[in-house]
Amino acid sequence: MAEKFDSLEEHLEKFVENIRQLGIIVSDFQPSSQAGLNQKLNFMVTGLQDIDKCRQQLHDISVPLEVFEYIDQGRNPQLYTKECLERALAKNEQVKGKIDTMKKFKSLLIQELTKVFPEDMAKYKAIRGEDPPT
Amino acid sequence: MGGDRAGQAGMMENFSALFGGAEPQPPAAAAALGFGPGKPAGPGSAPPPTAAAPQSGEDHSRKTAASSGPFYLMRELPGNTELTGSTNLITHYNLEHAYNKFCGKKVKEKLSNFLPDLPGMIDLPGSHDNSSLRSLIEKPPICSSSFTPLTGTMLTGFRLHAGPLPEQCRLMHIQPPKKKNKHKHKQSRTQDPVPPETPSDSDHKKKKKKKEEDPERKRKKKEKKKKKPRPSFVWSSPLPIPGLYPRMHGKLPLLRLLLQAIQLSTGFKKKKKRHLVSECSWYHGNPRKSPTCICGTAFLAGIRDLARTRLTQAS
Repeated sequence: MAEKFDSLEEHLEKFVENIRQLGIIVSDFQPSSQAGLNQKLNFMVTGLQDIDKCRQQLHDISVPLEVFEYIDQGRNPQLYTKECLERALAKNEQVKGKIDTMKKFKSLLIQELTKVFPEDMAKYKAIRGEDPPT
Repeated sequence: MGGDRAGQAGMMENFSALFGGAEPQPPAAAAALGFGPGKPAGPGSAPPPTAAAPQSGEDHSRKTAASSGPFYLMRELPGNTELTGSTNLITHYNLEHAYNKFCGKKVKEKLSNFLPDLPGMIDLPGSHDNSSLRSLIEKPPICSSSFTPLTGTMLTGFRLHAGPLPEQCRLMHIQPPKKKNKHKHKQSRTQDPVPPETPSDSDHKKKKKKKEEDPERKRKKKEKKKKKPRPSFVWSSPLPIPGLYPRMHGKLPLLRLLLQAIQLSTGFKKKKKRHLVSECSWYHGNPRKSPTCICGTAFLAGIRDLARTRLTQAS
C-alpha cells in the first residue's frame, strides 16, 4: 500500500523540482538556455506521463472532497483529519450517552411496570428470558 | 340498534382479519429485500401449523411475535456482539495513534507547514490566482487523454525573449516567511516584500495588541531614560594608554577603599549594573576569570560628577 504512494510521491517531487528549474530558467531567460528549456519542457511531459501511470495503481483510493477545500484555502490538510477524529469522538460520546440513558430508562420502566402490571411483566420477562434490568 | 351491533361485529371481524391469519402474504420480492409490514401479528393470530416453505426472516419474526403472547411490537434485542456507539470506536479501529498524533499536539495551520519544500506562495487561497483544485474538478481542462512529447516544431512555440521577468510575475521565487522565535525582529526587518497573507482571526488580534502596546512601551522607556541620570564616561578613556593601566591595576583595592569612604560620607550608591571586561578600558589581566568588570567605571564617573558639583558649590 505504502509503495504505491511512495512511487507517486517520488514522481510528484521530481515533477515539482523540474517545474521549479523551469521557472528559474524562464525568470531570467538567456538565448543560450533555449536548449535547456526545451529539455525541461519534455521532462515535464514525461513527468506527467509517469504521474498518469500511477493512476492505475491508485484507482481504489478515494479522497474526501473537503480535503480539497482545505488545500484551496491554503490550510494544512492534516487539520481535516484532526477535525474528523474530533467529530467522530464527540459523536461517539454523544451516542454512548444516549444508549446509557435509554438503558436507564428501560430499567426504570420495567421496574415501574412490574409494580402496576406484575402478571404481564412476569410474562414479558419469561419471553425475554435473561434480560435483567441494567 | 341491533343492526348497529351487527355492523360493529362485522367491523371487528374485518379488523381481526386484517391482523389475523387471513393476512395476505407480502410479495416475495419485498420479503427477500427485508421489507414487510412494520407490525407483527396480533394476539389472535397464529402461525400456520405446518410450514412447508423454507423459513425466511419474515416468518421467523412472525414466529417470535406469536410467541410474544399478549405483547405487540416484540422484536429480538440486538446482540451484544453488534458494534454500537457505546464502544469507543477509536480504540476499536486502532486509531489511538492517529488521534494522539493529530489531536494531542497543535497542528500548524498553513499548507506550507505540511509541504515545506514546495516552491512558491502556497498559503494563498486558490481562488486568488485561479489555481484551486475545486475548479480543476468542476471544470476539467479540455485535452486529450494521453500525454505526447513535444516535437521540434511544437517547441518553436516556446522561444522566449531574453531578459528577466517583471516583478509581478515572479511568484515562484517568493517563499512563505519561516517563523523563528529567536530572531523575530531581525527577520521582519530583512524580509523581502511578500504579498499579504490570509491571516486568521487570532493573528489579527495579536497584531492589534502589539500595535496598541507599542506606543505605551515607548513612552515608558522614554520616561525611564529621562529619570536615569546618565553618567559621563569622559574620565574612562576608551583608548587604552599603554603603561598607565597596568600601574593602576595594582592600586585598585586602595582606590576602591577610598571610594567606599566617599560613598559612605556622601551617600552615593554604587550602580548595580556592571559592564563586561571586553568593554572596559581598565586593565584586568585574565578576562576568563571574571567576565564582568569589577573596576566600577560607572561608579567612578558618578563620584566624579558628584565631586564636581560639590566643588562648584564650595567655590
